[in-house]
Amino acid sequence: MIEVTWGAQTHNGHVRQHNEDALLADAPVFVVADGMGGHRAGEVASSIAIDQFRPLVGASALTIADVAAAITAANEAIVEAGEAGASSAGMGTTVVGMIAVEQVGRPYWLAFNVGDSRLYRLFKGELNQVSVDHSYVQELIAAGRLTADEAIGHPERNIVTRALGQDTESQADFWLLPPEVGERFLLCSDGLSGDVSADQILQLLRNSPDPEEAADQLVSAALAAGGRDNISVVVVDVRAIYDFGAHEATIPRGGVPNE
Amino acid sequence: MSENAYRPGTWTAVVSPSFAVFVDELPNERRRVVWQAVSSGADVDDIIRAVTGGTTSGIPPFGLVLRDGDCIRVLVRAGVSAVVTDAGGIRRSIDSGGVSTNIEYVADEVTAVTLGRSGVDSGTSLPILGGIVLADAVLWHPPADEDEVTAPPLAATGQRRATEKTATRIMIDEVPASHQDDEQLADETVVTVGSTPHDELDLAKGGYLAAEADGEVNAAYVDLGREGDHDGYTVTRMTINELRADAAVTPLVQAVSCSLTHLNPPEAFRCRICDEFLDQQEPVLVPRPSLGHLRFSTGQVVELDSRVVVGRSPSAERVSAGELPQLVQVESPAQDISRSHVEVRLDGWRVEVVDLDSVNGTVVALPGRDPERLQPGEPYPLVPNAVIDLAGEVTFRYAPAQ
Repeated sequence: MIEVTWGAQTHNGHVRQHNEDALLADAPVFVVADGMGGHRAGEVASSIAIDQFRPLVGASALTIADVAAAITAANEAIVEAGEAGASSAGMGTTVVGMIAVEQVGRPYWLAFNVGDSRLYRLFKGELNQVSVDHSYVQELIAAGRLTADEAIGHPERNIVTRALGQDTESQADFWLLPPEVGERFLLCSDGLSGDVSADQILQLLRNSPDPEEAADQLVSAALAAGGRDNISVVVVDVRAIYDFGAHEATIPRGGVPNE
Repeated sequence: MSENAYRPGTWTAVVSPSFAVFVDELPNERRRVVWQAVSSGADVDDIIRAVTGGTTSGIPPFGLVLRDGDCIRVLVRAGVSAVVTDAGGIRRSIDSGGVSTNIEYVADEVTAVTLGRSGVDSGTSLPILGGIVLADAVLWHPPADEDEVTAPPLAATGQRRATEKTATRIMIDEVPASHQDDEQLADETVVTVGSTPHDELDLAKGGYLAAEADGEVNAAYVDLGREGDHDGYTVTRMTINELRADAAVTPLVQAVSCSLTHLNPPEAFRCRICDEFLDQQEPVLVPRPSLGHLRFSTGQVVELDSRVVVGRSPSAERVSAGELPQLVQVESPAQDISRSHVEVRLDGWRVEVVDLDSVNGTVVALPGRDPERLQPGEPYPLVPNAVIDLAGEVTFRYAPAQ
């Protein structure tokens, strides 16, 4: 079991009429979705996606299959809803999440991503992006034609290459991560990561010990940077793990004895 | 008449002398409906309607066998396999492997039919006269004489049957028009044989088709038609997605089965579970069953239904749902075991162990042979009861399926 505290915040931004983001932050389920599609269809898509994860809230000993089923259900529910109404045809949503699961008696974070919402991990003062965007810009970076810094503000940064509801393939990337006490996760829509640099995100996360305050600070920073898109932020702190520890470096045989 | 039997489990079996229905999940309120339908001599369509509540999407995995005039009908869908024994003692296995299959047999040529969950195959059988039970498999014998049962009235098709008494057959119809233009199906293998519902194939040939058609994709798709009526049998797009999702998590393998529906590699000579000699049969595609367990010196037991990564603090990064490993975290007070130390991989029916470039190495001892140190990154095939030693701190044994 992983004991966590968290803070979550979502905002329309300064430009958009509607908030097409949706989020769910309730242990052990943390998910951010950024919907797309005209005539408020994006709102519908992201909230349909989020709804599929609600049954997992409060559950203990979730499995990979539980989470994979929720993602599949979200995809299918959006495809179905899209086929049902002309105005919602072709709608879709990104989804990024982390959910505590159990395997062989041990807890893990099962993280997943479809699209360009992001999961970051702050541990021992270092911030790492866990998820890898499914976006045109990310493909350019992977091909070596763009640096991460050049990607910020890139005119085509809104093009995602994968989204729930757009494709019938099962297409999420997954990570299974052993939890560590003291680690902090950030889930966000591109309303944050598109306008606020990783350096600034790191500073704000470091300077706000309280996860709710950290979430507020991050949203404020995105608004200050223009607030051109909807902004959603979830900050999760790992407080305790009911498990054994000892995750230090492996000691080579004949090397330093333990203690 | 031989005794009908079931193996207690978690799915629902509805059994009577004239039929057996085996279904993944049957909600409480529908059990009564199914029971009434079958005890009043309902036909196949009525039973399917009772099982599914009338919807064509989201049909649960199910199997059905029933006496229908002078033939025995066996219908299996995703996740259910059937074994049909004929008067000559020849057993044929039918596994949907994600495909809907509907087969008719001439009644007096069938002596027993087993319906079971694909890949679930251990436990003791109990006799049953009739009723609804939670089961993993059902063994059903056709009544010796048609007069013994309330024969389901199938007047409309009775005549045709009377003239077609010769061959065991799978009927495969054309793909419904609504699917033909569907781009989503473009990379799905669609087995289309003939355009009339009366094309006949022998069973072995049908299984071969489904298997060979697999190619790179994970599910063959056979839509079967009956007299031009696709209702209830049409595999909807949603169902295909479900099959794909399943296939994404559990890969399909070629398999043959014994009379108890235990699945085996096509080249197997005796059943890996019950040791029975296997009949000559065409392999079929099925979701890969469990290949056994890993038993750790720490007491942990892991089922081999996906790859396994063992270590002090194992993790997996950016993989698809089907590539997600089971992580086994083992204590290493002396920290001799690396975070991700060793991996057990499944390749079809093969089980392999790979040292993940661990600091202190991995040693494998096959039964009756000297222990060998693994070369980092090089897969090493495991045989049952091989023992794997992680840095001398933790060991685990490959226990085959039982």
